Amino acid sequence: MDNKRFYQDDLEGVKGMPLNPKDLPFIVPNDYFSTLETKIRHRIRVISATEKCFKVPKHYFETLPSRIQERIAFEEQADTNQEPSFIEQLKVTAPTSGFSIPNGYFDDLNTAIVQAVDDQPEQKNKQANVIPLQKRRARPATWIGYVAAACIAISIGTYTFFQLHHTTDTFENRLKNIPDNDIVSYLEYYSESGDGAAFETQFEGVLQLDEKHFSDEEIEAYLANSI
Amino acid sequence: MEDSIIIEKFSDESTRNEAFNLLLKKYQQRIYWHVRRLVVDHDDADDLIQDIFVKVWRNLENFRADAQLYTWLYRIATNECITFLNKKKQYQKISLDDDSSSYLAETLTTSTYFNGNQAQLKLQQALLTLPEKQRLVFNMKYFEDLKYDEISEILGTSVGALKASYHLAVKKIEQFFNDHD
Repeated sequence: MDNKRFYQDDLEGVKGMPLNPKDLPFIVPNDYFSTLETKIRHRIRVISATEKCFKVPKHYFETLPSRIQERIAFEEQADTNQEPSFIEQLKVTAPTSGFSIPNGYFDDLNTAIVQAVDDQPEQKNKQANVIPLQKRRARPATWIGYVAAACIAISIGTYTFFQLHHTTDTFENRLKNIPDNDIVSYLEYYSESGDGAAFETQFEGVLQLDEKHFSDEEIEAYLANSI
Repeated sequence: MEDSIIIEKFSDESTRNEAFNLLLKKYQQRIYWHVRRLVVDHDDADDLIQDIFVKVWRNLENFRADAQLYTWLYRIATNECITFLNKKKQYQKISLDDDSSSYLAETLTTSTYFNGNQAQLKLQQALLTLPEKQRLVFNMKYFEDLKYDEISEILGTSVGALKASYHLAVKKIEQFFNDHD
């Protein structure tokens, strides 16, 4: 209430500003305020559930400041273009990768690439066949045509129905045959940043991560490899 | 030859082939070595380099001059390599937990086209223990001497994150050298 009074006092000083905040030219979606509390509570539940099921390696927070300082020091060192001493030594003994190529490889590479380009189907010059609309309307449809179309539709429908309901090759069965690693790998490369929130909403209550699933070493390895 | 001239010549149908040859002469070796260091095997690199330049041929017309040509080429090459390595991992059913990229390590030791000394071999073995992103950053910084700004433009990652990746890569490589002394 005090805050409201305070803002109104402030607004009064602004020329042309409506005195009542409700007269301001902003609108919110329908039912925004009636659903806001539910949304916040849901968010709090998700955050607290997340805090319970995730854990960090031992002494993670104790060592975090020193690791951040170490990173800052490294960034400063990187800004001065000074390589770590280990790298300077390494550049003496291993200045290149050590890979070699067949004799005369680059002499022929140009030709091989140009050949590969030439072998590509010419897409730009390909023109789609144009079917004149008038021609298609030349033969008026007869009742035989309708009967034939109906027969084909019934045949396809019947076949599809039996395929969907009487085959053992259902989606679930096919999913069972895919190794876990492949699924994890697929999700790793094709998931979007917003998927986590949607997943959380969809599987709330179903998904309960057991903290015993992840060892300290696994979490450390994950953190080390994810930067 | 300036990149802008190559691009200009490429946009003209009558000088397109000449422009593409100029581009190949200028960049093929640089892109090849970038690809080779990532995929290790020469034959894989040879296939990829052709795919990459076919893609370049198809898309150079749409290249916008607000980026550097070589960073654009590097980006195409890097994406092709990552896609190739991911497919290879899936094909060989290598577990995600296996960071050692054992198939690449095997390629390295059996390759006809590796004539490095002991330190070079050890460095490559150490690099194959790194996650892909750290390996990429280290390669571009160590072997190609690219600046963080340039790597950032190629990989679309912040300079700070790249410095951290390089830092972690250096620490892990140093550790590898200490452990395998």
